[in-house]
Amino acid sequence: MSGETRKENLSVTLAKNKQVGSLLKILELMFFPSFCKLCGKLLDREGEKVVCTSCLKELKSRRSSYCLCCGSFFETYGDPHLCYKCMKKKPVFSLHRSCSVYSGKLKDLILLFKYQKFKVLAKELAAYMYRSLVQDEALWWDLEAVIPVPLHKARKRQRGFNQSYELARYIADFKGLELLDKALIKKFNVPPQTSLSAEERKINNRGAYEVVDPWKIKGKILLLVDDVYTTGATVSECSAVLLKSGAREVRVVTLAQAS
Amino acid sequence: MAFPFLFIALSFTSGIFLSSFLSIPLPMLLILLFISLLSAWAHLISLRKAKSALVFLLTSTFLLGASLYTHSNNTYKKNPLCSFKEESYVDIKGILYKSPSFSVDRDFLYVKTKEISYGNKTEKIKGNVQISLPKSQYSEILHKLLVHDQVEISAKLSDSPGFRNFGYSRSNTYLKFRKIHKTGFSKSPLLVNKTASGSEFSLIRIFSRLRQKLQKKIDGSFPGENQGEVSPSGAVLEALLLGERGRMSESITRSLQDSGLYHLFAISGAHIAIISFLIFSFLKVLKMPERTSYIILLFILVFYAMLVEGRPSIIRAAVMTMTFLIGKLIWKDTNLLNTLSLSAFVLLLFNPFHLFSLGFQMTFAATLSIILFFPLIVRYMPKLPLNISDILVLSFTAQLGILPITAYAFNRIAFAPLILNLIALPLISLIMATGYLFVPIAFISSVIARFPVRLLDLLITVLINISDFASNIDFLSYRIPTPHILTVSGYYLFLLAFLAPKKIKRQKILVSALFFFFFITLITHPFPSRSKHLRMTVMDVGNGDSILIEFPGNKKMLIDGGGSAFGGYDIGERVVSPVLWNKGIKKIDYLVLTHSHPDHLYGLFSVVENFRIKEFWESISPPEDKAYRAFKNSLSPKTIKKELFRGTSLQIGKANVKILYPEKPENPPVLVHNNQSLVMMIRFRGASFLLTGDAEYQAEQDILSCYHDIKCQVLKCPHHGSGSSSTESFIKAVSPEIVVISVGRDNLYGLPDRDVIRRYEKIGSEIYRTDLHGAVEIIFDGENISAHTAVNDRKTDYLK
Repeated sequence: MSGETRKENLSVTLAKNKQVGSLLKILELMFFPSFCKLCGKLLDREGEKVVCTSCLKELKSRRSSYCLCCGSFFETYGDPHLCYKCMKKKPVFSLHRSCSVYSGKLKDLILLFKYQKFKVLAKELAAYMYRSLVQDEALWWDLEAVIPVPLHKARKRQRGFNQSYELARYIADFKGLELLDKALIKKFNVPPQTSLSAEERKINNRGAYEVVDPWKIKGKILLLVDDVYTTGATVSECSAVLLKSGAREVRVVTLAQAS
Repeated sequence: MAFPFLFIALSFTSGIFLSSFLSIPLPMLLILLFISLLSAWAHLISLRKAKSALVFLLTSTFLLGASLYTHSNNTYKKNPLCSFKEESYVDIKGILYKSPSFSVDRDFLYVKTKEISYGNKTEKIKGNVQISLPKSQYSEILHKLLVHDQVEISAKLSDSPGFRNFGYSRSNTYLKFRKIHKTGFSKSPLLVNKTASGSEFSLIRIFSRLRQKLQKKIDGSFPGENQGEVSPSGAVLEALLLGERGRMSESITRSLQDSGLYHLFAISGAHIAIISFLIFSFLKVLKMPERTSYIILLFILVFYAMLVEGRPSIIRAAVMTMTFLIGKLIWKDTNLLNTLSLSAFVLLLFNPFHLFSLGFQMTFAATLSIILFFPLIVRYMPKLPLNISDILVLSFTAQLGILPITAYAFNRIAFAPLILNLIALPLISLIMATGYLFVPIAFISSVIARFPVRLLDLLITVLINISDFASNIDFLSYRIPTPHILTVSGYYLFLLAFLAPKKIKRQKILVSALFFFFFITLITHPFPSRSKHLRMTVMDVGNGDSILIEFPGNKKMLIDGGGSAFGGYDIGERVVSPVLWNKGIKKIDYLVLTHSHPDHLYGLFSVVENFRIKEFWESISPPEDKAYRAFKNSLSPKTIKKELFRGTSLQIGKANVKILYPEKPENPPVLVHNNQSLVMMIRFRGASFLLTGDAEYQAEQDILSCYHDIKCQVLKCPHHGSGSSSTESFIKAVSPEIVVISVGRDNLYGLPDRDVIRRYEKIGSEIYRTDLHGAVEIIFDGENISAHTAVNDRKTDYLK
């Protein structure tokens, strides 16, 4: 008897909560009617922020073949293999994976996230990242900690957050890994990589990064997280610094790679 | 839908608006509301027809507005204080529901009454009274009072205060909106007795005390000429920081109104914007993360709104800014139109009478116009440095929204702010920033505070000078007769039509042309003020005389302008000018000064500023009299000045004006005297009006000795019905059918004299008194004479 009543009560509370939830939704729609920043649709579904769920669903991971080492996408489908560049000279990091190419909805979302300061998109993007790469055994095997590409203090203040850190935080959370957010820092502010050519990028970052707590990374296999991979100059520089300070291996993930 | 609250606010507002003149009984409204809500629910839940549910929901908000207004109106009217009548002083026991407010010449107390004693009776009456007290050396007593204090006051309670000219009921809506049931007057702060202090732990009291302290600090740092007074700069600073506008002197207020900068002194949206900007920049300098500063700003705005005791404009701006900040915090968009509607809805929900208050109308018209038209116009502006384009368009669109309101309510057209805001906005921001810096410094050390005080003094002086300069450029700011309601409606209709989707060919040109037509009509008021009949309006100016004669055709004559010898209330600006403007008058053809006593002369200062005067008539005035000389100097050089004496006869259209008194004196007099009054007779088609000024016995006898036939139909009773005039022989000779006595209510001189009334009754004259009837209008259509009174709007016909 008492058990039944409790069950009933529970269901009543749940039903009420649902009503309360929908009431809150109606109020939210009245006070803050918001529209998807990408397609302009009214955000009327539960939990939708900045962009609508259908725009998020359009994010697909790239299915084409890629280089086993540097992760660059090939035009063809088939089994992954090493690319010409990696055969000639291996990169500093052991491997890199990104979810897709830097274009379309993904590019729009990254732009919203980074430049319109919608920090709230981090969770959705990190989830997308995790979804796309979770099957890649080589990436996750024996991994010990996640580390974001740092941002200079001044830049961080300007943006309000470090986009790589926000992504890394969720990745570490999903996978149950340690997050090393203060181990690697950017010592001085250099012009943003996006403004430079491939050759300049390599020089631009040189010496900008530093490991402050070498004991934290000593002998560990690290996952370095960044938002966009273009020439790999940034992650290479970070990897080099990390390895020099005693990390056993550095693997890299990014949201997108620009060709 | 990006702005759901727009529809809610619109239906709610129309509910309030319609119920304000269609009085529908409350129970019926409530039943309808219940049915409408029920149908909305039914359609939504069981029938799943969202559209019809929406219609029923909007009907419900409409009915909610109507019920709310009807309810508030009933409660207001039912209040026993509203119907309370007692002519003499009463003793009031009650609690202050607001802290006292102070103006230049008067202070105000706001009392929630508990008990009122009069005669031998004590009644428990609950309601709100506003009591005014003249400034005196005891005014310090009032500064010690705070909200929630218990007080006992001796005061005289009166009906709607002020002057009952035609269409005077407007002032009542103001009292209603402020939930004041009765106004009262007390002679001295000594009649106010504090019996107990309010609880120290109420939030409103804490804020009130803080506010009082701030005010004291400013007063102390900007001392005025006399003890306890504040310097002009200090008063301006108080207005800017605390919204205490009442302490600015009449001349500064006038200058700011003329230049159109006055609205920046109302604690308003501009203030919230400036404060938010200052705080935000400050937090940025402190390297505060953006989202944290949103939260801090949110709290500061709540604090600020309480400190300045929210007017509609500040609540509007605070609600909008806070919604915006909350939206930012939860990653949601905020639509400006939606939040504007939301703030209107919130304000009206708390007090539906807001809709009829000017502050509400102005702030919403300005903001709505900015929201709707700013994006449309700013596109066409060239990119100028320092946001100049933005500020220009902002001022322009705001002005676009409030132009008809300022024309209608203040009879003012001001273009000056369009340019002036470019300098004034940054200057005021700077003054406010320095002001907020000065306040904490002043609390620490008055020595260090001297530096910001100097700076503030300088900045405010610059601001006032700019305002003075702009207010003197006539075409940038001028007064205009009250526009017709159709002009106002047409203006708004075609302004909004710019936003309508394109439906017909050449729509844009058509709408622009029509809008331009109404715009020009509004700012020029091209309608001649013509009258078919001879009309004489004896205004209610309290103690004093002011009479408007409208001759058949378009000629207007104003005889005297009322005025108060004690200064303060500007009768010329607030009573005489509006009467003329409401009649559509722009120029006065003949301005007549019977004699230069304050109650005839002082009101004319503003009249001369507000209207074009073609001719000025006078007879004898002492050239050494200070006020008279100041007045003569204020007359435009274009005005023709005439001195008229006995024997002059002038033709105005088909009417004839004849001067009966005085004769030209041999030497100019030294003192002003009633017997210098200009007396004239106006004749039109066999009817005669005799206008006597303040003529007394001596003048009356003199007239009788010179003229045999001075029989009249209408007589303006000499000297406010005093016993030294209206001698029996004079009255007998005139034997008017109608006599109008211009006299103040409850005046200290006991006018009109009872004996004088008896004398008129004896010869069978119909007596009209401005103290009883308000303004009196006598109309002669060539055959019949009729009289029309402002109080009770009574009209009586007399056969000639």
